[in-house]
Amino acid sequence: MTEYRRILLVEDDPLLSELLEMCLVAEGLDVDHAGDGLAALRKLDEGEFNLIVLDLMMPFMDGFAFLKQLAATPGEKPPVLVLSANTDAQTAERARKCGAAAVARKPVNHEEFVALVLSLVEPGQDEA
Amino acid sequence: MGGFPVLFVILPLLLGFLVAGLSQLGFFRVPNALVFDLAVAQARSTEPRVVVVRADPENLSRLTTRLRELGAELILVTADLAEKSVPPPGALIGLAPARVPGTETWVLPPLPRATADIVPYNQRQVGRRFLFSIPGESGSITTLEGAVAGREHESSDGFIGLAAAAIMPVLEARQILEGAFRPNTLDGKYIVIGPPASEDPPSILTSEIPGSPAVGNAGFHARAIQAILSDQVVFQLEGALRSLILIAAAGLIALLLFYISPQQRIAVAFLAAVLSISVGLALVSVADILLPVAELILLALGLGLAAAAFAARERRQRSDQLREQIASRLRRDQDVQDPSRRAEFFSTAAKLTGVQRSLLLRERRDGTFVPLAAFGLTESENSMSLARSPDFTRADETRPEPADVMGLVGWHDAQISRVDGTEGEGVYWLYVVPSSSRDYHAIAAAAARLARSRARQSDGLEEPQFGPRRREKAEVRLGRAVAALLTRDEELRRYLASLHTASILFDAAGMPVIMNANMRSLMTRCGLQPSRTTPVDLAVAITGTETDRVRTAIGKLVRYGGHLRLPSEAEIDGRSYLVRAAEIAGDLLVEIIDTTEQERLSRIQTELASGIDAQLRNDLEAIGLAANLAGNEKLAPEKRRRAFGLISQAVERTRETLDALARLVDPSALNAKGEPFPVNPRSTLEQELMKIAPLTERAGVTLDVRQPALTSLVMADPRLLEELIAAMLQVVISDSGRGSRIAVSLTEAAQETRLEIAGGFGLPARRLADSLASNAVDVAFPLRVIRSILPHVSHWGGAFQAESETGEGYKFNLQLRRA
Repeated sequence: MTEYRRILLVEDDPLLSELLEMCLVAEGLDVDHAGDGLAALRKLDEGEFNLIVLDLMMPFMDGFAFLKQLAATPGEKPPVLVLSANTDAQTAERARKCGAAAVARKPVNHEEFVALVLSLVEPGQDEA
Repeated sequence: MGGFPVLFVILPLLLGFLVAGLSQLGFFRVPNALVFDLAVAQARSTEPRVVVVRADPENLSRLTTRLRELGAELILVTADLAEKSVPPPGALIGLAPARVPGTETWVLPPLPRATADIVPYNQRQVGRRFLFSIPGESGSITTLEGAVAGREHESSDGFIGLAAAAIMPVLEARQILEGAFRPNTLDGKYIVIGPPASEDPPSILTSEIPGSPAVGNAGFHARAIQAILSDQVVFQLEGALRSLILIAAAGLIALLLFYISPQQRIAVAFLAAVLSISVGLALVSVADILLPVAELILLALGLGLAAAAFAARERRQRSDQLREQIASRLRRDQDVQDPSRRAEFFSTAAKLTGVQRSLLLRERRDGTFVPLAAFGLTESENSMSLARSPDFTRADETRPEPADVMGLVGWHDAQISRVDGTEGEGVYWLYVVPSSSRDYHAIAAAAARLARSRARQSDGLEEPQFGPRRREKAEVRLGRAVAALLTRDEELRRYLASLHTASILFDAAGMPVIMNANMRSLMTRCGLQPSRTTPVDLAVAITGTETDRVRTAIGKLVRYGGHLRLPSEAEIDGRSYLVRAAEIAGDLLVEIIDTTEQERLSRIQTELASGIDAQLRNDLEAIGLAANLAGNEKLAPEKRRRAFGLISQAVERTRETLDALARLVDPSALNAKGEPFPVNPRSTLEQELMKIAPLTERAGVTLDVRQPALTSLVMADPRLLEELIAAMLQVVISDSGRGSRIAVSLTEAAQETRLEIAGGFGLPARRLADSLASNAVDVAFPLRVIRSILPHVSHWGGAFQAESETGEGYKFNLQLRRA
């Protein structure tokens, strides 16, 4: 576990991306941003992250493809929190099978989102 | 009993016996050489008893002496020869031959009978010559001439035949005098000395039977003589065997005539006539068939016909009882008010009456008759049914061409009943009872006669065959019965008229019975004639499905009942239809449902679920987060102000999404072709890939499809987008060889979604560009589709590029703006 609490936010919607980043920064988290799955993989190559917040619907490489690619990558991998606008159970189940640690359905409540992120970033605190 | 082998093998054989017997009696003159040939063969003389010698008068005395030396028992000199010379001692003087034109009859003194051989009647009184062979000093003398001469001869057993002395070798006096025969060669022979052959009348020198060989035909004489000398009997029935066969034949004929149906009798009689003549000719030639054969067979025929007539009368009585039963049942059924039971009612009525075929006719005031419904026709009969005859018009056609008018009651097996109506106008039911129905033409014939009858009435003439009492009785009995049908007919018409779907009712034979205005309008648009459209025609025209598939499906529906749904595979005027059919008590109710709006609504639902719903959730998420951040004390003031500003952006974007949704569900835009709506490109592509799978399989190509699991909505007309994708796939697939691969790729960029299709052999770039740019009509259909849709693509805010080079394949690139 790294000492930095770095979050990789993978979201193609600029508006939502900026707002989510502001949310996370307000909690003292360090946020890096990627606009699609391919960019996110490059970011992972460049540095370490404590959590990946991933949108499923993205151009070039969608969330599922990113999760599969991530699973195929050797070494320790950060947990992934999936944000999905799809409400069907199959999408959430599929994301979990692809390796997502948690799935949140949009629109998420701000407090719940922050609590979920923090629980994934600092699991020890939750257990404590 | 009525099976094929019995009808077509045994019966002709038996009738052949009949013909043979009749020919023995002389009813048929059979001009056939074979008959004469074999008739001679039946003359079972072990050896000739009479020898004819032709001699000149000056040789008569010497000849008589020599004949005595050779063993002749009796010597007779013909009268005409005796007149020219002094008769030799020991010779008798005969009578002059009868001078019958075409024949030569030798009149001999009474001689003992050698045999009682039978020669067919038509062979009597006919003379023939043939070569004869008699053993001579140095072998057989085969150049001699013989003759068969016959006359009517009543034998002791009552048979008519040829006298024993009729088989006569004819020798020349020269052969006798020159010592060609050994002594005793003519032992016991009766010798007739006649004038030289040069004095024979011309009639015996050549054949008199057409087709038979002339006198000089060696083959003909050789067969005949061989049969005579070897005493061969070609065929003969004897004693008990003959009796058994004749009794069995008579019984079989009687049974056949009893069991075969009237329809079979016509066909069997025709075939039997043809075959029996052939069989009869053969039998008369080889068999010793006598008068009792004909007598017994005629007796059997009489018995069989009597039995058949008796059975037919019984069946007629039964059908009369059935008609009475249905009349009472139909009267009770008048209370049935449910229109949907009309078809069931007709079916029940048909079953109760045993009606196989019937026709409901409406008479108009102007004397025109229009068929309203035809029941009970088979599929093959449907094509030639009366309702389709140009002599009749249908109620749903506009051409009220006046037909003849009609009277009442029945002719033969067709019954006509006036159902209801006022004077000069009414409805008539024509039907055929099964026990004696010939076919549907009986109805047509009856209708025509009825029409003529009424026409005569209208001219002030009375129909002579039917009195007013019988007519009135028929009217009352059957008129009440069918009155109930009309009530339901009107109810059904009202019911169909109330339906929004285009609906039509066919009878079991596929004849249109009734339809509503929507169906009539739809048929007109499809180019179908209402009166000439079968359920299969209709379903094929509406759905574009293959005829065989539709025929099979409807056939199963008719046989097993239930429901059938056939979605359209092609559009009519840009609209989609669903054909729904249900079997109702033997009839077929077909409904055509316009599914265009249903499909659009289904698409809206899909898009809402997959696209707009997700977009709205993003928007709401943004608004919620922005609002929360704007009031978050943890953030710096400038960040909070920024968050506040983002609320406006999120709200604006939400408004755009809602606008897209409004356009999607706008009813006025349902028929607006070409207008862009938010569309899920992935689901559209998958749908088209599924549709084109059969073509792909036939072409033996493989599609390499790459697409994201989720895609954003794009702006396009869904229907045109489907057509465009299908056309691109068709172009490439049809240009690809077996085993080749086609790349289909759906990718998303920041503001657009891109669909690329690449593969095939390709065209020269210039030619493809010309095909898509010009209005040429000799362009392949899929390329024409692409060409027609291209203007819409730019209207949607998208773009389209097509590239091709010979050998390098096609590459289509469609870019669509994200919604």
